Amino acid sequence: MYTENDYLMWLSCIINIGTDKKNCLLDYFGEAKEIWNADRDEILNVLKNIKEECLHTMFKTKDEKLMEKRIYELERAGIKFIGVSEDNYPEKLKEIYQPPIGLYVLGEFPDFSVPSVNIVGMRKRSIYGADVTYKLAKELAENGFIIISGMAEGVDSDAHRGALDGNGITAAVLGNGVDICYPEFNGKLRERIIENGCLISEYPPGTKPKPYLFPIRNRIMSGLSDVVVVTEAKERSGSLITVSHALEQGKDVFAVPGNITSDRSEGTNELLKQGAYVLTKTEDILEVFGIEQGEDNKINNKKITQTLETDEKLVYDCICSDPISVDELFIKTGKNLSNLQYILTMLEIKGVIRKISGQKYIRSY
Amino acid sequence: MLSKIISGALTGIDGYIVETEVDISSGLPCFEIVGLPDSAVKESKERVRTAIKNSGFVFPVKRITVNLAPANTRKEGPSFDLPIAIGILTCIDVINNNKTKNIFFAGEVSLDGLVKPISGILPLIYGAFENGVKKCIVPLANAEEAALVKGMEVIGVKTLNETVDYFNGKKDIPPTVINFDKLFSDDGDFYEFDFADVKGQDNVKRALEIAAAGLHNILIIGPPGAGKTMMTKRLPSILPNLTFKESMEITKIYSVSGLLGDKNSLVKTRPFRAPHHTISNSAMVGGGRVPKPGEVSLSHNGVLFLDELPEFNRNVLEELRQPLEDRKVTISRVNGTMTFPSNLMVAASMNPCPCGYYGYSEKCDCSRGAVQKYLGKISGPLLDRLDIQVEASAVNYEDLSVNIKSESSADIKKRVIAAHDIQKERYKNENIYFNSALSAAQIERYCELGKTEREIIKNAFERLNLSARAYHKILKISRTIADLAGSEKIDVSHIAEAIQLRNLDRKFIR
Repeated sequence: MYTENDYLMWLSCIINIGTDKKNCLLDYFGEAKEIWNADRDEILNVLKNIKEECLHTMFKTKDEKLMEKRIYELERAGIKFIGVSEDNYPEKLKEIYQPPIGLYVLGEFPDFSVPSVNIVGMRKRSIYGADVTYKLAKELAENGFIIISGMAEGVDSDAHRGALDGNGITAAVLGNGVDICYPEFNGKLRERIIENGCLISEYPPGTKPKPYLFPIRNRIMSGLSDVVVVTEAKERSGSLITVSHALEQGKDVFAVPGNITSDRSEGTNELLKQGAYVLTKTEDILEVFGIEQGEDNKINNKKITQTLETDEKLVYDCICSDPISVDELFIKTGKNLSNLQYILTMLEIKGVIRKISGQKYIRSY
Repeated sequence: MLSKIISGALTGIDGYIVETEVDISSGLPCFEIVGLPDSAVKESKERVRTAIKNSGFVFPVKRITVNLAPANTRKEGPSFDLPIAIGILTCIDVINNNKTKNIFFAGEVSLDGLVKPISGILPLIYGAFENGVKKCIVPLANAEEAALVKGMEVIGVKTLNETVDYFNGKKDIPPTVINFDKLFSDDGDFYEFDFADVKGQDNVKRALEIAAAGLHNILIIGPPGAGKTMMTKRLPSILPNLTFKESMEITKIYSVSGLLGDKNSLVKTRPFRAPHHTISNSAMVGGGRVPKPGEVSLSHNGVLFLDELPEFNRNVLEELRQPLEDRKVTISRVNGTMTFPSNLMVAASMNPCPCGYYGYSEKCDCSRGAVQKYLGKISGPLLDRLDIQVEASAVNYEDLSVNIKSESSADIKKRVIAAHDIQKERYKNENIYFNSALSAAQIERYCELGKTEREIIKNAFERLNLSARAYHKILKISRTIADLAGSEKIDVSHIAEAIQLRNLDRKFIR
């Protein structure tokens, strides 16, 4: 009547029983269907210290009407449930500690056997962090990598955006139901991810974002990927949880070095000290997978710089990767203000510099 | 015995003639005022009776009827005290009836017979003058203001007795005259603030210059302490001097609102109004039982400064849209519908986020959602009316300590005036005066672009993530920048500079 996948879905919906207990049951019974059919004593036999209320929920939800309703609702919302028994359940994920018994997926579930990179970092990243993340994600996506991240504010969003702009596939692993948009302002990004990748969650639709759910989902992010990259993180950052999962799972961890004076790079610099791989360019990761990238990109940027006119070159040389305001440029270059504004616009159009908030400019690379 | 005295009342900021008819007949002693008086007018009975008695005249113990014609409009304020008193005095032959013919009276009297100043004298006299009245008797404190009406003989009086003596030939009061040439001679050095005091921030200064040149509304975004308020306060000092016509318009509004001080009979500086962000709707656009001008009208021909724009009540900001568009505001209340002029320039300032330091300092701890919510408090349609959006950078110590003399307001003003002259000449056959008022069709006509310019603007849109609504704004600002440069044609550099002045169109990585 119901498939094994449906029974797994039922099991995943029992939210007050942890993944460890569910895996325990699966190990004992072999199939989710058997758990459905088991009576109280059998389950108590396996899980000796299970709480009464958990058992109560388990038996209360063993209702065919409810099951029908859930299947119908998933279908209507376009959400797929991929249980551990399914063929397309990623092999990589089965190898981790406490694998999720199933994943809710909105969008097209990619084949995770291709190289995938998990990019993580802090929410309040600097412009440096944003730039590095975006560029890395974009270039990796252009080389066919799947970019995995958590759709949070900051680095996560930058990573997804970079991957999408690089016409690649990206997957967001959420700490809430896939039908809920969190953070709220990421609505547009969410739509784009669904179109060119997918949202993944081990929690059933309707699960509200709760602080304790997010660290747990980090194991899925690192589990789905081959390599974990931390672009910017403070000393005590949530992304370091992902790193510890990755190390447990035996994945390579890369960290992007930052200024030693910036507290937003304390975490990454510390990782490097402990022996993480140093990431200074995209090729560092490509090498791990034995992919060679053409030199086109770099030469391109240099070429543009060479075509700049004298005036433009003068202004360009005053702008570095530290943001500089137009007033400072005005004093430094000694140029007429309207002429300076003109040059800045031209440089922006040529794509060699970028305006950021606060009427400041930085080099884009 | 009947006497008729000419007086006046206001609708909005326009005065009209009110005939004060006084009749004394025999009968039971009483004192009635008819013709829709409000309580201040009704109370004038007591003031007039006592003032006449205390001035040494005998108040008639008869039936006194006062009619304020036209009888269908509501009269308010104490300005009818003097005409009523004079009317009674003419009836009892203290003053010869013929002598008060065709003379306008207005003023409040106190119990001891002093004649006190009233508000709104300028529009009252102006209204009377337009109706053919050539002479007026006003409180001495109001005389200078009244004398602004050219061709009107203004007699300022201090007491009721003095007025009677004047008419009976016992005392000669010379008419008040003011020297118009002198009023406007000292070349507009009326402003206490000057751009020379502002160090650094050349970017914002330039933006303000462009805003002043094309009368564009401007929004300055910056962290606390960047000098947003300081610079905006200096905006009136780079706008052209007021013409006499503009000056009169402003003085009328201020006169009605009772905001004219004792010293300045004529408003000579461009208004700079900076209402607090807790301001109510009616205080902003005007209102009240009998509608009075609001801040938008008080800043007519001047600058309305909205500090901390997102903190304003949303309704208040939305109400600004119509006055900004129509250049006038119409207010309807039970007691009438009034139209006040509101030809103003809006300068607004805001922080980039709730804490104020987003993008400027590591101090900022606002989440992206909080920043977006903060920026979202300003609606799109209002933002659409703020042509220039410029960001002020934080001031560093070196800027303040360096001893470079900044350009003074007078120098900037010269360029602004030149740009205004170009615009006036160009738009002489249109119903607009400034680039900011260009409609879409007019932009097509007056902001023609060459091939390279079109190419640049196309590239800019593709590369810089500009939103579509920016297109016309950029053209308008480019037009103003070209005018400032004295160039007939808009070229690439003008467009490029204009693009830098549209910050909120850009979708920066936030």
